[in-house]
Amino acid sequence: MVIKSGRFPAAENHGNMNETIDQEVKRLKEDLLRRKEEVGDLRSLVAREIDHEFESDAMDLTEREIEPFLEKTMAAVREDFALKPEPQTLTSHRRILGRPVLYFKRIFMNWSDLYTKRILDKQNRTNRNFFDLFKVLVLRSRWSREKLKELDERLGECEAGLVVMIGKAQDLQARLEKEKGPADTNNPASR
Amino acid sequence: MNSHDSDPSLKLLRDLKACSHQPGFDISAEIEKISSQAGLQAAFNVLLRAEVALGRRRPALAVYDHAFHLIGGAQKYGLTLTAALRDLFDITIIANKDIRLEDFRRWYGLDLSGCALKIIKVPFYEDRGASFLDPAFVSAKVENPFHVVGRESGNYDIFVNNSMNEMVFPLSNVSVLVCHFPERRPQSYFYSDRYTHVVYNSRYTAEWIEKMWRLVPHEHIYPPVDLEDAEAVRPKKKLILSVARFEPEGTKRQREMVEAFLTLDRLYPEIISGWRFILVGGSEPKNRYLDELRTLIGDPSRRNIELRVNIPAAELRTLYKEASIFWHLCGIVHDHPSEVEHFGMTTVEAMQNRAVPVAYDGGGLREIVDHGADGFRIKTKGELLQHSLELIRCPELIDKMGRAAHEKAQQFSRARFEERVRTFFRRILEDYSRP
Repeated sequence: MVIKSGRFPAAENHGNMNETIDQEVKRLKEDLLRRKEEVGDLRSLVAREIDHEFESDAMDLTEREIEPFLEKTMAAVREDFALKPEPQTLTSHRRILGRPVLYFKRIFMNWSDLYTKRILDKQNRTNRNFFDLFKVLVLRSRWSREKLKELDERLGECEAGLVVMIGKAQDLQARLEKEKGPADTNNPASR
Repeated sequence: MNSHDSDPSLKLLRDLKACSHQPGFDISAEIEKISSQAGLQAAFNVLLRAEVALGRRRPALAVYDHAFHLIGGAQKYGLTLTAALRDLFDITIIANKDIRLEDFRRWYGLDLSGCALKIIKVPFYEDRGASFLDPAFVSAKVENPFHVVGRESGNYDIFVNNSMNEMVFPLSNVSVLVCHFPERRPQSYFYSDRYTHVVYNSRYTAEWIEKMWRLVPHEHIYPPVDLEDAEAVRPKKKLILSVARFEPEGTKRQREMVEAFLTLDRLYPEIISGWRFILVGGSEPKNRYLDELRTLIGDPSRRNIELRVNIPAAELRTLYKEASIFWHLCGIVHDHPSEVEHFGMTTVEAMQNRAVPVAYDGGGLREIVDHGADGFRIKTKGELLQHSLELIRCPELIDKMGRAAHEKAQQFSRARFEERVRTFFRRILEDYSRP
């Protein structure tokens, strides 16, 4: 859809010109508004992509975000750490020589698979060890966190107790001074 | 705003302003060119701006919050901002649930007459019968339900998103995101970086906007606090007050405060004699945390600890007037920055009424309470007891610090807020109407 007309003559009268501009702006707005209504997608309205990917850095995680992150990552690792050689479909484009070529390819693949499998087995064992180590570290960090929380609470209680004890000592001191009364300046013993 | 000379929109605006001197100036062709290059919205925006720049109408501003139908500090912020701008703009308030301007007057004492109100229902939440439009329910697997608000934003010169919902894509010429706290990390449908200006309510919020969103916010405007009462009772009553919502998760830490008062009561019966501790806050009808607090307090006939839930504003004002000490421990235990007070409106309310705050040393509270001068900032329950005892033992200290607190609280008054808001939006308007 194209907006029609809208060319302004060189006007001598500024008042008329303003009116013409106003009318034209109003007409164009109405037209654009109608066309906007017809567009379903927000992206089309701005003629560009509006969403983009965000990369988050694991080092920025807050305390509350760490546990869900651990769970999610461990599940993903658990799913992927056992590597298996992926079976390949052997094909050949040669009409006549295709069959013997495939035969030799298959022999070669079976032979090389023996070596690949051995390497993958070793890698899988290493992955499993690493994963177990990771799990134990997570376990230890959880345990340490619990312990730290407990110690923090106990420290808080001790500190509160200390404040109370200092307060009590101050009260006792004030009471003793009160009981003793003001110093008797006439009594030579009190000088 | 981009004022680069090569910007076709700005060029057109300048030409429009001077078009009486240019014979044969073709506005339609220019608009069509912008439309084909930058989209229909860009072309529409040029016309909106032209009308304001040529002085044909007052600029139109929309203020949106997905939680305007609920009472809250953030919503009060947005609506006080709206009230402060009424004479500068034609304002439309956009909400997602049924609400009336009369409700805002009743809740916040704000006169918003002259503002239009537009309710845009979001089918995604309506279909689920949700009373709160929680953006956390939206994943990349579903179409962004807030695009309906984004589309509406394109009908105004300035769009202000006051909600903690960064899923609204702004289409207006100028857009302002008021960030009360960056609760979520950037993920699907995150558009905070698409706003022209980001306003923040405290330096603590700004710090986390930078950490969580990797954005540098632009304008710092503290929230408006208007519980100032010149007749605050003097001498004050022997009353310690806490005002905070009874969150079911216990993030406002009322349990810790009750425990502290019980300790004082048990170990200092003479000193604490005559003192009361009142905990005020809003709550849902069923609240397990509140039940736990009742159990902790024990004997319901006990006179010196009271829980007052969902009390009227007048009653709260009276309590503020009477209180000598104000406790606020939100954040003392936390594992996420959002669990620390982002600002601390109730603490300022107490200070405006000459109550001495003893508050957690973290978050926005650090910007409010000057330790040792107009209150105390504490890190542990022990420090809470220590400074509270200090105050209880010395009424002169309460009086002295109460006066200092009152003076400090003036920095966060509604008048100061309105002044900052108007200065900020006047600046925006000046840029906007002079291309």
